[in-house]
Amino acid sequence: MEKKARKLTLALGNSNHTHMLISREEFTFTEGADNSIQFLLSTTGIIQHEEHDRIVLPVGFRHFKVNQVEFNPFDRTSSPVWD
Amino acid sequence: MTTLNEESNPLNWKYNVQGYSGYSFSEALRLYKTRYNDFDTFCRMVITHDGMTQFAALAKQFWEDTPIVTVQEALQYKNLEHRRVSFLCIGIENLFKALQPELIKSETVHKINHRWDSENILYSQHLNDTYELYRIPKEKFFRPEQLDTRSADVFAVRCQCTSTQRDYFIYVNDEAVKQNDPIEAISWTIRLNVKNPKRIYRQGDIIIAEADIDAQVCEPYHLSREQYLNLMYAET
Repeated sequence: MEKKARKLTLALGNSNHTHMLISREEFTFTEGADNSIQFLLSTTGIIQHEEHDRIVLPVGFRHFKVNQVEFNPFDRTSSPVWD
Repeated sequence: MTTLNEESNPLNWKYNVQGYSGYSFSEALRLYKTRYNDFDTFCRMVITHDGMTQFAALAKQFWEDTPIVTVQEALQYKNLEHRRVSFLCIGIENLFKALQPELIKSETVHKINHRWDSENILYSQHLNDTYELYRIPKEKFFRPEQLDTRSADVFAVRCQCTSTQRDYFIYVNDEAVKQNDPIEAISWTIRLNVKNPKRIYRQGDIIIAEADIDAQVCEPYHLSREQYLNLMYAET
């Protein structure tokens, strides 16, 4: 289901840190499997984090957020990295 | 048979940690302390609903005196699931320090990375990023009775965050490192769900793929070495 926001938590990390997408105008987003999110900006979007430098995303594209994955040697599956 | 009073006491409950059920209170608390180090992080990550406040209160009481699980201890566990949970809670960095993995190959890549200043103005930086591929022989990781045909040597790639300068180890699939290529290993850790991305951004452990407006979600796939080197636009 498509939703709208100006501010969206893309992921919560260790130590209460947050990857936060912020834009001056509303953008649409859809949440998918494995914590994935796709979003369509209507103006520049900025991803902020307490420790990592910002990322500035342009309009005119569709963006797809996923988590980096790691392997589980015991059951041979892949799952999101817990940072 | 337990009385109602006994059943309502969190000390008598059975706990599920990382998908494995049946832990006693003290076993669960040891694993949680091993994983989360401090009580505040434990509360934030584990105490997620009101029904757990009783458990949290009791955990606080025992937290300081609860010892963490050591690598040496976890290696003795015969129960594969218990070992798996213990290894997960110990964390790959601590595990790799203790098991002394073999460095298979190191590769330094020259990158032109993109960043933005406080006014959101784009600038580029040249950097050398080093990736190391490590292996732990399966005999060190699994017990003899667990060494069946599914068991393989365990591989991890070591990389450094360009913002925090911290080193990270990430487990990778042995199938992805048959060429002993550390860049292929780090590429494997990025699994996208859109075809033909134009650029990739990474902020810590989250990945943003930029694609055409009409792009659709596809079956997830891992990046190849070439895709990783050609598409990565910004890492912070």
